[in-house]
Amino acid sequence: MMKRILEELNDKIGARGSLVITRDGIPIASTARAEFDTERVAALTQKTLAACGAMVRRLGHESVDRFYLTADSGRMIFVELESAYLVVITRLSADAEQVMLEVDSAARQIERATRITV
Amino acid sequence: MISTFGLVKKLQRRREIQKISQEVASDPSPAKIETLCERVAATKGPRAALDAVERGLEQFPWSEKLQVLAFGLAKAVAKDELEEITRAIAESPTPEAYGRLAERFRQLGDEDEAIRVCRECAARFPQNENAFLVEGRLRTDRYRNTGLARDGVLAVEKLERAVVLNEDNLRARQLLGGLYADIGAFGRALPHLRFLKMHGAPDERLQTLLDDAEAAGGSVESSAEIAALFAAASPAGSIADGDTARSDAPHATEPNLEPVLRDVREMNGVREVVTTRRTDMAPEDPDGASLESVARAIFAIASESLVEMEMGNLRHAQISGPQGQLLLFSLGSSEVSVLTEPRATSQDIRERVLSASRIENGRGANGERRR
Repeated sequence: MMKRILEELNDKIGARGSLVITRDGIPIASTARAEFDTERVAALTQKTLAACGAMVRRLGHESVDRFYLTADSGRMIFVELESAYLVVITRLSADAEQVMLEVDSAARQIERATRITV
Repeated sequence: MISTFGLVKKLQRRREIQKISQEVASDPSPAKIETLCERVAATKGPRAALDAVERGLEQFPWSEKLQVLAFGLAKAVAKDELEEITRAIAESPTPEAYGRLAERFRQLGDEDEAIRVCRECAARFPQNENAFLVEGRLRTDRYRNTGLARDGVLAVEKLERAVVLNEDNLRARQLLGGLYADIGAFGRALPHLRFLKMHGAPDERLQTLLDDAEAAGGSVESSAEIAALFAAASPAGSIADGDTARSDAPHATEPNLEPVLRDVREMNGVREVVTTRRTDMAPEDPDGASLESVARAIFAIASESLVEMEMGNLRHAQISGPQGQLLLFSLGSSEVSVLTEPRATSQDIRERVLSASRIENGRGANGERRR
């Protein structure tokens, strides 16, 4: 179910990859192009989110809902789910607004799906 | 038996090469040269074939077929040499060996690795111009391919350093003269072009650039003006695309950003705005709770992860939560951090910050180039 949501998301926004990982950085579901090393991305995501989360807490921000990074060769979007993170990697040329709408929609679908199956 | 068979084969190939060589000599064509190179590569290896294709390119410099072949062979040669140079460096490092290694990585298309080698060389041999020249060339190529201002700024910075270390480095001066002239920094271009005219081979393009530079006149541009001119010439404005490595270039964008940042501070929902110098150094107060120290730490963490994920360098980051948003921008040699209320419109803030240097760095209100 989760994989299908991710596949649809990738198709809609032409994402290079998307994955759902646990808070510990373990991939639960992923759909990504061959060049993607899912395990590595998951581990780095967990490390980045944990370190940046600790930093923003110093500013009095107790939690982070979303985290976007724009780099030379693409964008990374991290959305906090109930007990996991959704990570999406897109091309730089992708329409940012459309990407966010679709990512939000996918995040909601994943949360619903998780609630039903748990 | 096998060796006799091998010898016969070898002789046959040699005769074949001789025959094609004669055909190439009597009636040269790119197709014949290509066939010859393929045979030479099969018998004598890619180095000999590359020599042959380079001779062919002297006769047919615009042949796409030969250019493609030369590129492929250069890559094969570079790969072969890579291991050998790496071993030589491990045994006895020299700036020349580092220069060759960086050049090979460049030929293989691995620019990041080439730059890393240059940096290692510069750290070990800071008085040798080789590494600065190779990195300068790499950045120049990248600037010309992508138009990214940051690469242009870093290219001139490295090349200037190469010229300081060896004022007779004509290649560095040639690249500098071309880059400065391209962005209209004729005051900076002039001494390099004059030096090349006096000490280099006669060159029609050089004379044209020199004429343009002398006609334009004007004073020598400051480093801040150079950064602004690169930004104005770049299709992406001055948005940095360079690495997070520490740069010796002056803090070029900060004064230009100031008026816009004042506006940003006034925008709805903005709590705090800080600008810091781009650096790879750890924050002065790593445990601090100031926006500056938190932003610098996040820049460092995110940049490192993106490089590890092979996504390139960080341009912009945004962290949103119920208590507010933190927006980070990488602009030239500056980093801008904006802390907002939860409901502030991040898109407006982002557009305002990103428009800053485009307006100030050499373009008027209507987008026309200022001189």
